[in-house]
Amino acid sequence: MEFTNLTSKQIRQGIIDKKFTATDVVNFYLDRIKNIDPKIKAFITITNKEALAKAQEIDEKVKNGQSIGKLAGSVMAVKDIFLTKGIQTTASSQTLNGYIPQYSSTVYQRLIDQDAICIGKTNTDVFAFGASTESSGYFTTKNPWDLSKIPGGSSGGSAAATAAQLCQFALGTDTGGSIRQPASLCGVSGLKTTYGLNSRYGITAMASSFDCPGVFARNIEDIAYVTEISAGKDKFDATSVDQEVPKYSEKLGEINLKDLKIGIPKEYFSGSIDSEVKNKVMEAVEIFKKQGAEILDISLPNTDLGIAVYYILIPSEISANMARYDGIRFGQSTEGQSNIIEYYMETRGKYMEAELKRRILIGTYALSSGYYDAYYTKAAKVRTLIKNEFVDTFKKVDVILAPCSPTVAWDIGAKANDPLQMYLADVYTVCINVAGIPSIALPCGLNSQNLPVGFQIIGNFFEESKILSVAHQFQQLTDYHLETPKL
Amino acid sequence: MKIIPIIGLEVHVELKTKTKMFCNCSAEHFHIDPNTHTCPVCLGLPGALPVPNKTACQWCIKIGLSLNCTPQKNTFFERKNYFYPDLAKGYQITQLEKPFVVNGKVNIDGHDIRINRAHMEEDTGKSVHINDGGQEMTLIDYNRCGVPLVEIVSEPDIISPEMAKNYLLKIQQIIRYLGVSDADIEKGSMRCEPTVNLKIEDDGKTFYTPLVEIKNVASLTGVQNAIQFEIDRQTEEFEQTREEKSKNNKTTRGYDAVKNKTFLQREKEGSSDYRYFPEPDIPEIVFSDKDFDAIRATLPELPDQKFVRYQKDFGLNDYDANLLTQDLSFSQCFEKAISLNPTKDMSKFVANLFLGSLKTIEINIEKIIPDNFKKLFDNKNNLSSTAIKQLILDSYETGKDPLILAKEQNLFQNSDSGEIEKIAQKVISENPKAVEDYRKNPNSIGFLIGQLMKNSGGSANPSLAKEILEKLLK
Amino acid sequence: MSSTKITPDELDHIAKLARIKLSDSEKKTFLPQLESILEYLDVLNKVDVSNIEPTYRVNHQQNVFHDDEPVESLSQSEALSAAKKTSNGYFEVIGTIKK
Repeated sequence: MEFTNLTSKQIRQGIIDKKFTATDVVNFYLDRIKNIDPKIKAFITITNKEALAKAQEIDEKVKNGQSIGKLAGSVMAVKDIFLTKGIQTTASSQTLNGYIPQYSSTVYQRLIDQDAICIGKTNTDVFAFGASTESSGYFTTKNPWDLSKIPGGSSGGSAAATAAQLCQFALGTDTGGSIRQPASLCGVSGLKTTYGLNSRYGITAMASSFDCPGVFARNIEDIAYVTEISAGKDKFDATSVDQEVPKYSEKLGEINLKDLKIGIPKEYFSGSIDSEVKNKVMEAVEIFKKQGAEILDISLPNTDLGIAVYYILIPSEISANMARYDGIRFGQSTEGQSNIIEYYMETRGKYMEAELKRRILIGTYALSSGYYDAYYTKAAKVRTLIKNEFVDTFKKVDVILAPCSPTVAWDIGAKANDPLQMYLADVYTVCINVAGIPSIALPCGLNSQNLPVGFQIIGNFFEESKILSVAHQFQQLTDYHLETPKL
Repeated sequence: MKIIPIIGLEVHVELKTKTKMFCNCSAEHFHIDPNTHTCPVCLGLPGALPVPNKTACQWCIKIGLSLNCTPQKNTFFERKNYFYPDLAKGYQITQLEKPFVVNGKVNIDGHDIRINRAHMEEDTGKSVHINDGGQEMTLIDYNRCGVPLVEIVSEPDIISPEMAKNYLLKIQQIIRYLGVSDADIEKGSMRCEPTVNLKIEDDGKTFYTPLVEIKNVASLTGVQNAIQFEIDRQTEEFEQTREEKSKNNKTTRGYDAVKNKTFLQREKEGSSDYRYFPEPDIPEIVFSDKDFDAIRATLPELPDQKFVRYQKDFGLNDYDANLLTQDLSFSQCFEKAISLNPTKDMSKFVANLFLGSLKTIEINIEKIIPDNFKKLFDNKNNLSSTAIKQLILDSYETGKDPLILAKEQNLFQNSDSGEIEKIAQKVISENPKAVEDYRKNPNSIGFLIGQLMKNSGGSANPSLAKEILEKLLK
Repeated sequence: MSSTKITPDELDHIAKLARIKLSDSEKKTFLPQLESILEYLDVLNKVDVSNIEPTYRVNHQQNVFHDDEPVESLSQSEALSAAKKTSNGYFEVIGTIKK
C-alpha cells in the first residue's frame, strides 16, 4: 500500500475506516528508510522500536473503539535539535553524543500527544549553525535529487527525509532560512512561522530572538494541519504569543487570488542570483498573474544589510546560549586537568565542531567590552530599520514573493572552507528572520540539471493563514510539489 | 594626614518566595537532598527557557519602596556571562541598565545613605570542595540555583565600620518587617559585600585610594572587622605607594575571618568582561502607577514610622520604643496587648511587661489576650510588681484570667489603710529598737516594712505600708 | 569603529573568555576566516541609525510571568542521569577556586 501521496488527514481517516493500520504505515516508512537512507543519510537516530510501539498503541485504540489523535498514523521525522525524552538528542554535535534528554520539546510533545509517530532524529548543521548540513559532527546528508549535492541547511536531514518520502512530515527550525532554503533545494514545502507562534521550549537554542520551529511536508495541507496543532501559547516559553491559533487547514481556500497584491522586491532578483533560479521563480509569479493577482514591483533597500545584522546578532546570542555546554550536567566531558579553567577549555575545545567555535568566537568578540556598542547595539538598531521596512511594505502589498536561495543545491564541499561565502548565500532568507515575520517555501520546478528550485511567500506578522492559502492554491494550479527524486 | 573612609555596601537578599526566580521548582534548599529541587530550566539543560516569578518582582519593588526608591515603569532582564560550575547556564540572568527601583535612601545615625538601586537576579548553586583520592574536586548542588535574589546597592555614603553595621541592621529589619526574606546573615539569606576606599587629605591636597571590593564576609562582626582592616591596610599602603584610584585599579579581596585579614584574590575572570546584553528570552516588564500604588498599599508600617508613633502616641522613651519595634511580630503582640486601652499609662505598663518577663520567652500573637492585660493594669495597685511579672507569664502560658490566678495564689495585696495602720501600730510598739534606728537613719525603714509585711501575711501593699509607717513615726 | 583585524593575542583572549581551547592549526585556520567575516560586518558602519531604537525582541509581549506555586521537580536521579561524573547525589567536577 502506498502512503506517500496521502495527507495526514487522509492517513488518519484510512486508519479509522480500517483500510490499513498505523503499524502498516510505520512498517512502510521503516522499509523505505532501510533501503533509501543509507544513500542519503538523513537520519542520525532511527527509532524503529518506539515507532512500532506507538503504532501498536494507536491500533489498540482503534480496535477498542477509542478515539485517536488528530495526527494518528502520521510518521514524523524530527530535527535532532528538538529534545525528545528518552530518545538520543545530539544536535548533530559530538558534545551531545549519547545525550538522552530528561524532557521533551513542547512542539514535539503536542504532536505526539495527537498520536504523531516519531520515526527518527534527522541530521542538521551542528546546533543548526549552517546552510548545508555539512558542519554536522556526524556526517553529511545528501540531496535526494543528486547525491553529490548538499540538501541545504541547517534542517537538511528533515528536508531530505521529506523529499525522499521517508516520513509524512518533518520538524525543523528556521533561524536564518534553515527551513526555507533546504525546502527549496530539496523540492519540498516548509513553513517558517511568525516568531513566537511555535514554542521554542525544549529546542537547543541557537539565537533566542530568531529561532522559529516549523514543519516540512510535501503538501501545504499537512503543513497547515501540523502547525495548527503545534502552535500556541506555552507557559514554558515567555516569548510564545498568547493569541488564538486559527485552524489553518480549514482556511486554505480563503484567499481570492484575484484580490491579491503580490510584491516582487528587486533586491531579491538581482546580484548573485542564478538565471535559471530567477526564471523559474518569475514563472511562478506569472501563474499568480494569470489568476488575476496584481504584481507590484517593490524595493527593500535595507536587504543588503540583513546578513551583517544577522551575523552580528546571532553569534552574540549563540555565544551565550552555548555557554552551558560544559560536560558537567550533560554532554561529553574530559579529565586530567589541574584546574577548572583548563577543564572548560579542553572539554569545549575537544568536542565542539569548527562552526560552533567560529560563531562563539565572533559572538564573544562582538559582545566584549569595547566592541559592544559598535557591533551589537548597532546591529540591533539596523534590525529596527529592516523590520520597519517590511511593516511599511505590507501597507502596500498583501504578500511578498521571492526566491529562497540565489542558487540551486551546490556540490558537497564546494563552500565548506569559506564560511563567509556560505553566510552570503543566506541573503534571501535572513531579513525575514531579522523582522520576525512568517514565510512559506514551496517548489516551483526543476532546473536543467533536474535540481529543484523553490520560492517563498512572505507575509506580515501572524498572517500564516494568508500565506498558507496562497501557497495551497499555487499547488492546486501546479504539479511541482508532486515531483519526487528517483532513489 | 586626615583619613575619611568611603564605604559602599552591596547587599543580596534571598527572597522567601515559594518558587524559584525563573521556574516553578520549590525555592526550598536547606536540609534537603542535593539536586532534588531542579528542573530543565534551573539545571541549564539544553533548550530550557526562563519565565520570571511575578511575586519576586513585586517584592523587589516592595523592598525598593520601603527604602524610598523610585520604581521604574519599564524594566528588563540581562545576561551576565561568566563560567563557573555552580552557574548552570554559563550566564546569570540579572538586571543592569534598567533595575526595578532606583534612587532611594535610608537614615542611619542621623546620616542619609543613598540607595543607588535594587534589582532582581537569580542565585547560583552551592559548591562543596572535597578531596577525592588526592584530587581537589568540587561537588555541586543546584537546589539553590535560580532562587530569587534582590541586590541592593548603596552609594558610597557610609563613613565608618559602625555605620556599615547599623546600615545592615536597618536593611535587615526593614526586610524582615516586609516578610519577604529571613535576611539571616549567618544562614546566607542576606549577604554583604563592602567596597572600601579612602579620601586622604594631606598637606592641603586630596587623594583617593583605589577601590577594593571585599568578598566572603559572613557575619556582622565580620563586616565591621573587614572594613576596619581595609581602612588600616589602605592607609598604610597609601603611605608607601601613594597609589591613587583610577578606572582600572579596582581590586577584589577575600576576607579571612580566622586571620582577620583581607587577601588579594588570585582568580580573575579575564578582567571581568561580563558581556552583558538584554535577555532575549524574557519580554519587557511594564508597570503602571496603579501597579506601584497597589504594591505600596501592601507595605506595613515600617520600623522608623512605628518608632516615632510609639514615642508620640504611647509616650515611650527611645530605648523602650526601639526594643519594642525591633521585630515586627513582637511589636504586633504589644499592640494587641494594649488594644483595649491604648493610653500612655497602659502602654508604659504593658511595655514593662514585654521588655521584662515576656521578652524571655518566644511569644505568639495568638496567645496574647488583650483582656488579661487590661485586667492586670486595672488591678496594678493591688498586686506587687513581682506578682504582676509572674502572673503575666502564667496567664500567657495557660490562657487563664490573671485575676483568678492571683486569687488562687493569694497574691492580692491589702490596700486598706485602716487595717494597715492597725498592723503598723502593732509593729511600731513591738520593735522599739528599729524605731530608734529609723529616727537616726530614715533609710532603715526597710526592717519595719518587713515586719509589717510579715504580720500581714505578705498581703499588705508595701508602698502603702511605708507611707503609713512614715506618717505614724513623724 | 575599531580595527577589524584580530591579532593572535586577541584571538587567544577571546578564546579564553569563551573557554574554548584552540589548537595551533585551528588558530591558523580561524584567524583569516574571522577577519574576513568581521571586515564584512563593517558594512553597518555607514548606516545612519541616529534616533533609531534598537530591537532586541521582535514581538510585543510584555509582563509574562509564572505564578508562585511550586510544581514537582525532576527526581535526583533524573537530574543526574546525563552527567558523566556524579557523587552521592552531587555533580562532580575538578576543584574550583573558592569564589
